[in-house]
This record gives sequence, C-alpha cells and structure tokens, in this order.
Amino acid sequence: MDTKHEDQNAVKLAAFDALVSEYEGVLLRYVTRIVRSHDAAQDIVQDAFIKLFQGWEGELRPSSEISSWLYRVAHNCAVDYLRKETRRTLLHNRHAEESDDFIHPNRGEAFRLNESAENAAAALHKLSLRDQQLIILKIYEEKSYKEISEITGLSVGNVGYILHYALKKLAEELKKSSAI
Amino acid sequence: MKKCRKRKILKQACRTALPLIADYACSPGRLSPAQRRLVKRHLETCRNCSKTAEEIQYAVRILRSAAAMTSIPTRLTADRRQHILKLCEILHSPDSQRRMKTCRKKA
Repeated sequence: MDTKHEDQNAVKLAAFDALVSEYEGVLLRYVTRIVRSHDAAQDIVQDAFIKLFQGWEGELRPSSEISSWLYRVAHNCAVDYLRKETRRTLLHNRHAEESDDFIHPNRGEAFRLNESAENAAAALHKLSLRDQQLIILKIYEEKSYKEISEITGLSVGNVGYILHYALKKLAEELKKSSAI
Repeated sequence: MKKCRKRKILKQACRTALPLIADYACSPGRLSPAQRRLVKRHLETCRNCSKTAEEIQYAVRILRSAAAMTSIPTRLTADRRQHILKLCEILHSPDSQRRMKTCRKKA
C-alpha cells in the first residue's frame, strides 16, 4: 500500500515538475513585464506554481485551462506585489522627508532596458493594470481574444474594445514621450 | 434628418470594426478573411479609424522592437525551483494530506 502511494507521489511530482518546465518561461516573461523586477517576478512565479499544486484538482498536464489559470493567478500575485510596493514606497518617502540619512530601499535586481525600450516600458506603465495586462497578453504573448478572455474573465467582445482603447492610449503616451 | 441618419450608419460601421482593429494591427492572421475584408474596407472609408489603426500599428511596432532588446530569464533560479518541488513533496506526503483532511473536517 505504501509503495503504491509512493509511486503515485512520484508520478504526480514528476508531472508537476514537467509543468513547471513548460510554463516557467512564459510566466516569467509575463510577470517581469508587469512588475519590472526580476527578483519579484521569480518570487511571484514560484508562488503561482505552489498555488497550482495546492489548488488544482484536475490532471497536472499542460492544457489551455492550466495555462489560463497560471496566468490569472500570476497576474493577481503581481497586482498584490505592486500594491505592497506602492505602500512601501509611500512609507519610505514619508520617512525620507523626516530623516536626512535616508537610504533608498533595495528592490532587488532592476529590470534594465536601453533608452527606447525604457520609453516604451514607461509609456506602458502609465496605463491601468487592466490595459497593461491586455496589451502584454496580445502583443508579447500573442494570445487570441478567446485566450485573453479566459485569462481575464472579460467577454471576447469586451477584450477587443478594451484592447483598442488601451492601444490608442499607449500610442498617445508614446507620442508624448516622443518615442514615435 | 438625412445627415443624422448618415452619421448613425457611420458610427455603427465603426462600432463593428472597432474590436477587430487591434487584431488587424497586431496579428491579422487571427482574423478570418471576412473579418479582414471588413476592417480593410472600413479603414479605406473612415478617416478616424484609419488614423487610430495607424497609431496602434506604430505602438505595436515600438513595443515589439523594445521586446527584442529586452532579455528576461526563461528559467526559475535553481533554488526557487528546488523550493517549489520540496514544498510540493511535503504537501503531498501522506502525513500532510491526513492533517489537511482533519483540518477540512474540523472546518
């Protein structure tokens, strides 16, 4: 009985290991673009996989359902991280105003880019998180409206509308930063 | 009266084409031939949508060229990967599962 259980364990863990290999790259790419920090992206993707192992009740095999689930959970973790970061920055800034010997908080390894890539990333980050999410999924991850709809919970029709206006806003931001 | 009607028709045409314009600019291959024809025809007749489509195409081009200049690790660090697998092993152990079942029953 124990040997049988051990075998099942080994099979499940091997399947999970294969899933990590399958999705770690795309998730790291996606999350890094949202949080703009390599260290934070690594932590977030790690958490998303642990949540998958704890919460997924179906088969641990690459599928569009698992892929959408992982994107969704990683996105939510990224949003939580950004909220915490905003609060942390506010606190540090307040502290900076009060003390002279203030040292900036270490946010880990930054997401370094050259100037034009930095302009593009900065313009993207001026948009709402929902707009950023749709643009990243469409342009960088090359997802279809249907896949984006499964990840975000928006209807397929809404994805097209929101994406249209998000890209229009992005073009305006890029113009302002004279990247165009 | 005629003018109003004309405007309404134009607005409706924009509304139909609008959600397809982003796909037309980013990945036209995703659209069906009929959808591609619809957007193309609309852009030929609507100056506003045509201008927006051009702006969107610029934005897409800039983001894509920025992506080509950006390197993002494609793997989790070895220690993080080990941590995930170790934790999952613990979570999946019979002891831990028994404990979780008891907790669920209590809840």
